[in-house]
Amino acid sequence: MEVTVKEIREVIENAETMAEIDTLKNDIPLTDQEVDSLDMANILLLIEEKYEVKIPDTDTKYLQTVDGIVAYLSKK
Amino acid sequence: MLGIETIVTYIPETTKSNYDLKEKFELDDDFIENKIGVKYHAVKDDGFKSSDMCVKAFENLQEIANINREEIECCIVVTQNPDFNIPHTSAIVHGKLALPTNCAAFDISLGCSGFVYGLSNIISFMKNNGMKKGLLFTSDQYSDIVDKDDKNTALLFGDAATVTLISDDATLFPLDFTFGTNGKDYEELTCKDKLYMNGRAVFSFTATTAPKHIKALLDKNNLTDDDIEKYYLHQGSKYIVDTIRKRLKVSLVKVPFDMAEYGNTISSSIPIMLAKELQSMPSGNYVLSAFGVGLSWASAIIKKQKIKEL
Repeated sequence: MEVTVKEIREVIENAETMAEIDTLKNDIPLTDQEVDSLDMANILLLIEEKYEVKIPDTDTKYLQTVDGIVAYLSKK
Repeated sequence: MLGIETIVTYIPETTKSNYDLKEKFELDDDFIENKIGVKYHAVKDDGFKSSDMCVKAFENLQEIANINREEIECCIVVTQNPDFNIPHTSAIVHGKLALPTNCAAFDISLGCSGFVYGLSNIISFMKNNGMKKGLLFTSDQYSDIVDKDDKNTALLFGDAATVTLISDDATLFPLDFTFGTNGKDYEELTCKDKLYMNGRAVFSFTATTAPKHIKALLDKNNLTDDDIEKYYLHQGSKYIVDTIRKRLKVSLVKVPFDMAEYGNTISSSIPIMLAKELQSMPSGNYVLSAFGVGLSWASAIIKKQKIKEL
């Protein structure tokens, strides 16, 4: 699956978190950038819906950063 | 025509503050107030059981309504925290309230969807059996089952009970109900010893199921958002109420949020909101929608109308 950093940043923006999307770092865990656990659940749901994938709880450790999300989805 | 005459609540006066748990769970005020949405949760007295809270709700009902106990023909208790495995809690409530022996009493074991299920059940049961007056209780005391070290649940739940008086002297009338179950995922929210909740799974289930379910119910009844005065959603958390509202694309003023001072009260959350607004609600259509343990969900359209207008 072809997924871009821009797309994932748009998903995060749509999740309406407290994170500053313009300064969001791609290689730092989102939870260290004003994204809380409820926001993460929402972001993962939005990704599941957008890309029609099921992300098991056991895989969430690979989806902690923007880069990690892109890498994970690119393997799908 | 049978409907809701009035609703009365019992919310314990004792509360515990989530602000006191900030350090333990590494929380900030924004998370407490705008995400969880629970500042304080209501906690019953030690040793208080589900039936005791029902009795308290009934005592509060007696203060505002002239109840002749001899006229009560049906007593249903919605709870998943019964006093005992045997007998059913409604029998205990029946005994404590000294209801007449010709009064039917049974429990409904459901969590958050329980009030909507219970409302459909009591009205159908009473109608089919020619009954005129009945009591629908909701009562759960999660303070007995929550793991106080579990961040997923320790911040959320409050104890409460409600009683809904069903009669033919009513002002709120159900128009339609719809129900759903996904038993395959029951393990996402269980209590085998202490309460366990997979927060992500329950959030995803609710965010995807509830909006579609409500929309389908409106479509089935040829109604749109313009025909609905308010949506009374189960108060799971502020985040989930906000998420459903956004996905439904309805305005903030149409979706009450009311759990900050007492918490998620399971099947009591919708009747607590209705009890507060029952007198001031203008005539019109209202949506009730609840979702949770089971996984189970239920929605209804109810109409506020003076009986003489029917």
